[in-house]
Amino acid sequence: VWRAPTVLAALVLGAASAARADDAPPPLLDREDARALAVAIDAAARDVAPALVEVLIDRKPAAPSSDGSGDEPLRSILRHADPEALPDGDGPSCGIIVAADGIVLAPLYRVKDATRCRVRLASGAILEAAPLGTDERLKLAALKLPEGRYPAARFADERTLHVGELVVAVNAPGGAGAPVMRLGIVSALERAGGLMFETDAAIDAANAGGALVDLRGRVVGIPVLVSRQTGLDSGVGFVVKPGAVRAALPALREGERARAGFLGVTLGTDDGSGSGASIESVVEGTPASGAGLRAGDVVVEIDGRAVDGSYALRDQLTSRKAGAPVALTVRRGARTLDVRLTLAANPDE
Amino acid sequence: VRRAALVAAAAIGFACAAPARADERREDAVARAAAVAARAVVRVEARDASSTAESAPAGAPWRDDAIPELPPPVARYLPGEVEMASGVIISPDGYILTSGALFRDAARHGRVLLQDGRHLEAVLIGRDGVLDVAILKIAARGLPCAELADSDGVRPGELVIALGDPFGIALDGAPSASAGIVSAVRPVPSDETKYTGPMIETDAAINPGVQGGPLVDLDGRVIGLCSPLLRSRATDCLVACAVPSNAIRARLLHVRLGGRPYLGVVLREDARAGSGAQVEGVVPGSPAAAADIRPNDRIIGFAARPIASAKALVAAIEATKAGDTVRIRVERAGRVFEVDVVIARRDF
Repeated sequence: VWRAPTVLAALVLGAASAARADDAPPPLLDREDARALAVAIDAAARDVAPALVEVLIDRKPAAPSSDGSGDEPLRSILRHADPEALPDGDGPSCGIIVAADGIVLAPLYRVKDATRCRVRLASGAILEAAPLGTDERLKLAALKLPEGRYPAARFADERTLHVGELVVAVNAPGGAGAPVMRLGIVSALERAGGLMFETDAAIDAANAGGALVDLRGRVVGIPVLVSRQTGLDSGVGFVVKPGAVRAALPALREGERARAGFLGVTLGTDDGSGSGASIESVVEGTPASGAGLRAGDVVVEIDGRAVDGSYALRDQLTSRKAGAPVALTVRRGARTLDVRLTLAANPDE
Repeated sequence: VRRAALVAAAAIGFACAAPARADERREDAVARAAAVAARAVVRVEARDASSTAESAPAGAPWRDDAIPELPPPVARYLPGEVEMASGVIISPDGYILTSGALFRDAARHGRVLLQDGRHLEAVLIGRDGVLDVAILKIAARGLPCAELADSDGVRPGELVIALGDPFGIALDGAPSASAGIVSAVRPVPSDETKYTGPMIETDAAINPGVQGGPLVDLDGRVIGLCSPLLRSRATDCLVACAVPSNAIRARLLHVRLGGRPYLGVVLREDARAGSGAQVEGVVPGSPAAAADIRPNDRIIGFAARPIASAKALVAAIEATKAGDTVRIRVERAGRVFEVDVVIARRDF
């Protein structure tokens, strides 16, 4: 059964296929492949379905819904997006069981205002879910189910991910129904400072917090919403990588509320040289002013990694937690400075 | 139930050629299916009966093979006087499935843009308010048409293609194709539809304008008719989906068999008995209106037989059935000409 999708993926990705009798170029996707693909998609979704849950959310009637987190870099990608709003999604949210002792991750913007969360398992059972930590960088919140053994998702090794790989976004079956599946490919590997990757599978409030699976049924990431979705599929979806989930899990279990890192500068427009991010102004009372950064400075490296523009610097900063130590290499006129500082949380949020 | 649907399909005589077998040689399945089905996709426009915008050119007798006299089609996704959707031809003699939303007001004028450039007036044969699907008829023959599949055989995960005219951009008449998979087959409770049966949910792009176009399988057969995006009550998210072909069969295609035949003229008995039926009025949106029959016209022939009186014309109409194309001989201001009309159905 699993040979078929492998063969198929090879065909779809245009890898060398078996020698053919005639000289015609090999087909991209013939009918046999298409059948195999349908079977593989369905099987992959069924594989992950037991690890997916519906999160039933009670909230105060007037509670405003806002993600309110430092996700400017991500928002800036969707230039037409309304930066103030994510869809409320009055229905249940998706969640995914990431540890067999009952840790569920769910979209942060959905559960942060909740007065009570319950979780409906694929079996239909409804359980209380206690809030644990949150991570604004990942747009995810952790919930704890009652003591017990739960079917945790099997995460893939993200190092095997490659652009063009077929992936399926799967949401929770919703009690009785079958999971809803949306097909796409991996569009880009490094987004949000490496915490996420990009897919063209349609992601919306109904399947954010679910699973993105490969055609072997392994979870390659958790789709999240980073901006308002119009309902017309933008073709740009963000997915938290398995490694980022693994790295964040201990702190989430401890109940940490991780904030995105904040430096305290505004960045100018890039000069197009692809080298460095130019500081336009420095806000008083922030890590940047404390470390002596000035308007006109150009950040060329962060923790030894080259910064190839303002977007890259924002990406790197918000992928780090508030409280994280950071080493910047800064060009000031003809001089090059090494600046060490500790990121704060954005005081406006 | 299935048998009944099949019998009905047989009775109404779909004469579409079966898709050629695909196993003759290996070829791209999506491209092939899109090509098979795309020929049958049309743009459908509807405008209010009272609207003067886009009125048909006066004077020339309406003919089904007329060279288009209207300006080239432009994008008209205008949720006002003129609205557009997509449609799919399901029989060579011009039956077309399209979005019912265009014809919630049954008096609206429908017009179909074929891929050969023809614009034909369409007669509303029937509309199902639950499915929000309408069936139209244009007076034409030998049209490329799509075959309706058995939608009970649709499997989640299978590759499908949505065909239609997103935002009215298909200026050459050829539709856009968008591939995706069947995401789920389930009811989609929404304020925008009364249909509570299972819908075929897909991740193919169904943008405004594509509604009414076909969702086809890899045989190029129609498994469903694209619905406008629905806002799911369960998730508060927009859902792209299609009304399954079997639901359309069961609820709508029977209209081709039943109902009373209907031309849409108001007749006056007058002193000139023996010389035809005097037209006093024409019902907007009716077959007569689509054929540009006007008040004060005199109908003197119907289906190649002379008409002596209003009573004779009524009897002649009663002898037809909905969907028939009939040639009518008309006297107007001393001039005699012939027009083809498509007889519609009425339930009143």
